[in-house]
Amino acid sequence: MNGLAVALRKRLPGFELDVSWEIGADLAVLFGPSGAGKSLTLRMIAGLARPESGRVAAGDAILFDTVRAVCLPPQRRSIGYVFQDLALFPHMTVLENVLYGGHGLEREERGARARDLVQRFGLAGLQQHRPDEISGGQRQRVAFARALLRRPAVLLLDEPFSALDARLRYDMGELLREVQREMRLPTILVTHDAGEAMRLADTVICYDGGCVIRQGPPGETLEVKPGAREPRRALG
Amino acid sequence: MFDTAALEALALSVRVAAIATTLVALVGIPAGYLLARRAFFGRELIDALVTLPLVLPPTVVGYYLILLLGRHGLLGAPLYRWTGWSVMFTWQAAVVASFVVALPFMIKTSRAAIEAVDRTLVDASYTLGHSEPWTVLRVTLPLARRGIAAGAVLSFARAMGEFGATLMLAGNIPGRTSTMPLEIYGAVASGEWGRAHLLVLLFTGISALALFGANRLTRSTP
Repeated sequence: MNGLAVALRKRLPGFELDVSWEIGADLAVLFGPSGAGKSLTLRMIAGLARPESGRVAAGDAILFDTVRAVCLPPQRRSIGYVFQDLALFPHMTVLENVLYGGHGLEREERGARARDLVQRFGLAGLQQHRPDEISGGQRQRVAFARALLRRPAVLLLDEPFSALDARLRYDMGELLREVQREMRLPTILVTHDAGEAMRLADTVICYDGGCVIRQGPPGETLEVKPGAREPRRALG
Repeated sequence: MFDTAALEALALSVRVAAIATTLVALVGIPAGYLLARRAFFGRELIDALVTLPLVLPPTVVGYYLILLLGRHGLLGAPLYRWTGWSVMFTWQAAVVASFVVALPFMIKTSRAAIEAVDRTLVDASYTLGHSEPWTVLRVTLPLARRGIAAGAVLSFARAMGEFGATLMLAGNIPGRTSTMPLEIYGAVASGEWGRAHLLVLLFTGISALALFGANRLTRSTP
């Protein structure tokens, strides 16, 4: 059973994160102003930051649970993470970057899947190039392919499209949507862009000041209503 | 053109510096990594301690090493009791002296180089399922290699030039512990100016060549 259930609490100087939500095999958008705790949430799901208390479960797999004293290291969480700055390895070629995401796969399967993803993401011919020799949109797709290679249980994307122009942003969104549906992959996309959220999300989780202020289908959560402070600001 | 003593001194210097640099790399790179990436109690204290030989006069370092490794020293006494061997006045003592004075260069530069590797790349490697040692080999060290190579070159140069601590620990025994710097000192002390000239030129040439080669090595690849 695919899905992601998250409950996290963490107190930092001047900021407190206290969120709890659950999604199925959907594309969920984490939406809200900077500093609302969206990226921190992703880092905690991936095991790169540690909450004080809470629980993270991907399907039946418990990744973190303070009650049961479970805290898997990031290596054992099977999470595809696309970082805001993509975090491509500058000393590796496109193909090497993608293959690096194939940990745990048999050598043949890894090669075959990497070839498939390279084709599908329009990276054919660029395999031997280094990340600084290809365009922003291409880099984006390399990071995406790398994160998907070993069929993660969950996909996390931290504003990965922010550096792209509108056209590429749109295309990448479509690609994400397509892959997410096909793999039935619980996916969290962090974005500031209400239009993008409206277009891509099955469900929107609105953050503000370290709390979830609304969760639901984009049509309801992103509607401009009195009191719906954040969406209006972002749309305007 | 050169007498055998000069060539012996050169060979000894290169051997001592090569072994010392190898040991320095084996200890200094992991130490630099731990100092860069792990927060533990007394981290900066340890950093200061291993950096001390950089600022202390070599004779002081040599003195400490005698206290530690001399026949009546902290480690030297039991070693002598059990094996009948003492490191004092052997070529190995020159290696020890070079190791201690060169180590700070390696630790400092590799720590800085490793700290400069983008933490997100390391996180990315972890989320892709790779262990810390594998990440070090495939991501951290390749990206820090220029700094580390520079540290190795500095260490080698420092080891080649080591004089004070070597003199105190290994003495100046012709053919056994007389490295190039000691040989040059000996030539000047006994008024053999011509010989000193040649030795100094040879030493300068070799050092310049090593630096030039290391520069090319660290710049050639992206």
